[in-house]
Amino acid sequence: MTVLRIAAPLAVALLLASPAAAEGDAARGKAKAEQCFGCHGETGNSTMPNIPSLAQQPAAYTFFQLFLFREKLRNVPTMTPFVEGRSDQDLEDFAAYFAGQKLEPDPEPRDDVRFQRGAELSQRLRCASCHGAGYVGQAQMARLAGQREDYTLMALEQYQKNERTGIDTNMTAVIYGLPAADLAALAHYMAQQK
Amino acid sequence: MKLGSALTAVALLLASTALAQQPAPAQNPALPGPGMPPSHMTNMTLSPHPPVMQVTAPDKIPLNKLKVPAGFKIELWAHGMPGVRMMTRGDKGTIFGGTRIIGRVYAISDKGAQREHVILAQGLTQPNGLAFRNGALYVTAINKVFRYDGVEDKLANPGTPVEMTDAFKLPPEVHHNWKFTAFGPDNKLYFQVGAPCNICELNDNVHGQIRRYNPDGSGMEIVAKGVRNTVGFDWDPRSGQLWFTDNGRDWMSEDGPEEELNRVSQIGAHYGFPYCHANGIPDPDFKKPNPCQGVTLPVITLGAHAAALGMRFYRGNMFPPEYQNSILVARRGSWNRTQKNGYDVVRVTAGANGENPKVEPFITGFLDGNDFWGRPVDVHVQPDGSVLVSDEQNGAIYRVSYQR
Repeated sequence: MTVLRIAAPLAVALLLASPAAAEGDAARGKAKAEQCFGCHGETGNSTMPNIPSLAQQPAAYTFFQLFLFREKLRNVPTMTPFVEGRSDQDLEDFAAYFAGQKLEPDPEPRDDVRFQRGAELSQRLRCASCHGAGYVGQAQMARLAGQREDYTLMALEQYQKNERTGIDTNMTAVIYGLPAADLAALAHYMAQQK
Repeated sequence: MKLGSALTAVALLLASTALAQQPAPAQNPALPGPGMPPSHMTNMTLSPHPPVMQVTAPDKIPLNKLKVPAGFKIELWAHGMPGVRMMTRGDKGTIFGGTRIIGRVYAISDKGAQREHVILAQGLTQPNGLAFRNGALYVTAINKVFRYDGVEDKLANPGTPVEMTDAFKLPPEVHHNWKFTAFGPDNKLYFQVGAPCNICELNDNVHGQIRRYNPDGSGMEIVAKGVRNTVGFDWDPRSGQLWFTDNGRDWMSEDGPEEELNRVSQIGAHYGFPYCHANGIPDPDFKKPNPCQGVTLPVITLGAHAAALGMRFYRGNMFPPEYQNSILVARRGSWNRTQKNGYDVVRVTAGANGENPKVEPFITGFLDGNDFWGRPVDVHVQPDGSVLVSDEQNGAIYRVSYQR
């Protein structure tokens, strides 16, 4: 417990120190983010298949993803027109806006078998070590709790096939060799978290 | 690479990645599974530190915190290159800098009083490995290989490189496969294919290797096996033998297994992964009888989780004579450890056969208590005998010199 008490303030300090995370302006972000709302929802709560909710995502996570889109390092053609020519400040503002929105999860009904398997796997794979207690995300690592299940599964599959570039490759390492059913169980379990 | 060709490269990359996809290897995920930490590490919230994608202004780099041995001087040599990592030098003096996530290759020209840089390529997947031969820059980006002919004469507009990816036939896994690349004294191109996991069983004929090729991608030979994650090697001027750093696994303990400095006295030797770590420590998850039998143990270990990466033998004429054939090793610094370790450059001295190895600090001060402000990744010995050190965290390169 001592470790946890020390680690939590450190994580916060790291987040604040990150130049990507500290300087976004949520109000400015909202004013510029109208084009995002069609798919991601005005409050960052997506109702569209395979489109992630952005509400309550750590600002650093969203910034890095937008940066990767803009630099064409993470290649999602539908995102390209929205980030092309945007400044780092714009990206930080978008990230700050969505970070401040409230996530309102609307998960599928719980499947006890997949939920239990997901719980076991998330322990074994130490998902919370990076994604935080309760999987609420921290710094460059995404919030998973309450994320759309279809989106999380798609992301896991893309990481496993080396089709998605992240800010780090640890995701590909953690799920290396994991069967498809286990990826599905993880996505289900995370979607059920509050 | 201009935008058009960068787009083409991305499209090619996506297409060939899809073609090269391999089914994930079978692995029994029964619980408790491999890599499960000992109880004292189970609840730790350790995670990789975020990179920096933006330019760091020179006045934000606290250079005065760095300490070097008496008589040495360290100065800011170049800056404004987010994520700069591995360095190689062109015949005309250009320093090329590779990166990981930001996907760029920088070309830095020395203008005497100052340095200027251009982004030579962008939009690549982790173009970490760079090597130079006969006027050409070789760029390795996970499983892609590009060659920029006559590059130093056209840094501002290098055009489309020759793509050599098909000749090398490299596996597509990204983890531990950001290359370190160099030409050996045998004129062969060397790089690693690391373990695509923290700890797992490997096909020794594909992963966990250092390989060498003819410069055209033919004639592949496996130089070393059982290598988890090397991101730095060099050849001993005394023997011509290859020495390399290798990073130990995570989540086994706070204090190990330590990173390694290894020597290749026999081509094809095995360095132990995943069964045997560091100075002969059996893996607690992947077990086999006599796990260290036939394994070449390190010359010396280089600290737990310290991330010993770029290394070079010192063969310049500027430093004191006792530095001749010393190995300078950049330790990027730990994440999988509560008390941070590394974040420095160390000097290793050892005989040509690895006898009497010793490690001592060379550059310290990147770590302030348990907070870091810089992450040294590579070292490069310049023709004048000074040493360049890249700092990925600040997008900067420092120069270490010695006044007689």
